[in-house]
Amino acid sequence: MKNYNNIGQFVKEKLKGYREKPDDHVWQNLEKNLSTTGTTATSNISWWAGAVGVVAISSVIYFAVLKENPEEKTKMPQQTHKEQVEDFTNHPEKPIPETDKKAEKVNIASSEQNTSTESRKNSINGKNREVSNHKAENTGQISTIDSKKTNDIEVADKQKQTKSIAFNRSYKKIAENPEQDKNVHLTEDIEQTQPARSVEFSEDLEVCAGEDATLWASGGKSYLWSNGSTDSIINIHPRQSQRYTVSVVNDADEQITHEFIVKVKECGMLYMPNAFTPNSDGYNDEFKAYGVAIESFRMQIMNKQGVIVFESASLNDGWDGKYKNRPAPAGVYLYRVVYTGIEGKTKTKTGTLTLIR
Amino acid sequence: MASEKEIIKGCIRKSKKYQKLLFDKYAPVLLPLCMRYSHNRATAEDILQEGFMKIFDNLKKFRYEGSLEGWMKRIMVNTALNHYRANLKHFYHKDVEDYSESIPSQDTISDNLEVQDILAVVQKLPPGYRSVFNMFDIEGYSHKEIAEKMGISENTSKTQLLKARKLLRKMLLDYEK
Repeated sequence: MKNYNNIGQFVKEKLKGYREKPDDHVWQNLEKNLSTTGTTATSNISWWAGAVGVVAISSVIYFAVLKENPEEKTKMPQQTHKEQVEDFTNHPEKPIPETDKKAEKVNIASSEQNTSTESRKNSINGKNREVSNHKAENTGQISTIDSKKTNDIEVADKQKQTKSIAFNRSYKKIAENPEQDKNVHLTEDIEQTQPARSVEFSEDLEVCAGEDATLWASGGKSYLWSNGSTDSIINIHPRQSQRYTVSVVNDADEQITHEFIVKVKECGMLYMPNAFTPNSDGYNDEFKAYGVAIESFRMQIMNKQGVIVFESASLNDGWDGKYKNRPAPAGVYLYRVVYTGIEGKTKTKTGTLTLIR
Repeated sequence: MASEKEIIKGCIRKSKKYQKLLFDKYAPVLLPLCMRYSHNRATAEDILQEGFMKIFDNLKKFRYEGSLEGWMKRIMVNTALNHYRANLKHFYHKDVEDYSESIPSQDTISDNLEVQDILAVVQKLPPGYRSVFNMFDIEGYSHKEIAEKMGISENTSKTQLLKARKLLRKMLLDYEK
């Protein structure tokens, strides 16, 4: 180990045969990704081309699946739900208006709700129940994570309802050791004496295709959802309109079953790339928007001086990088898109794109 | 224990069981590799995850030429390099001149350094140096290959390697103190 030249050898020898196990979440994430349609972009096309692909492919598959194949799974964002749950756990000292919070969540999820759910209720058939069973496999993983958190919440809740020292001590244990909270939590249930609560459920939902949503039940001792979850809240990614059921055991040990109807409607979605290379190599030669369920569309591209260099009223009509029949210089341009989804909402999207030569 | 061939076939069939087997078998070997190419463990795990997605996607293209492990390692290195490129703008580039105080050349690095310590020091290298050092000294790529993969010239690769070694040596010596 005397000179620079064999420092490499030194490091290599030291590291030879060294193994280190990754954390469990790596496999868990991987498993989640593997069960979705997504594949990673492997070529050296710029990253957004991959993104376009995923968006386009998944939307195509999505709508195909909507009609034919209810078992297919897609990747959906699950962030909102988790973040909100964390919110509870982070402030265990504050009183938790659990039902209020949940109701708020549902409001967010169903903010798009505007047409009659009634008509859809009739159109949903028994086949959907099957679907929710298949779903169980899909969401099982998330629910284990969530169930831990929910248990924390419940425990935190109960802390406020009891003054028993023994309980406080065990709560401390839980706080220190959230992994083991399950067992402690069970004994808590037995010790606990609390007034009977009434069981409540979230409302039926109407969500945009591709969005996820939350259903909840509250006031029970245990929950069993049609997707297999045993949480009080479940995060769902409905691919098509379907029913979800939950069996709740209330404080009086009665079983109450409730059915939720979740209606999925198509909403316009638009993806804009952020760069293109008009060099006629067949890859990304045009700058165009990728959209599904779009009723009307209008795009303008401006250069930095604010001169409109391109206008289009069709999704298929992209900019080839020419202005007045001459190649426009490489650089950053601005786009502005106004589009209306088939749900009837008009949205505006603005952003920048880079012309690469 | 399933044979390597069985595992590969299982993975191509997209059987969860075999995918998990492959992951369990090789992730502990590949994670240290990813760690060498990143500045912390979390990034390394991201790269590992991304790399495994590619491995599962492309396993059907594996031609049984050379070892599976070598093939997977190459994919990981490529993934790590992509990651490096994608995050280029986030990296803080510390110039090697910052470390250019005179190095007492008679100092030797003791063998007492633990693997974890060495990894930690490698992770502290500026990303460009780290990649070149790893590829040349550990993975055994040629300067030509490195130049192609990283989009730099062969000469840059060579000078970066020398600078990386010099810096690494200095950092390892400092680490011991």
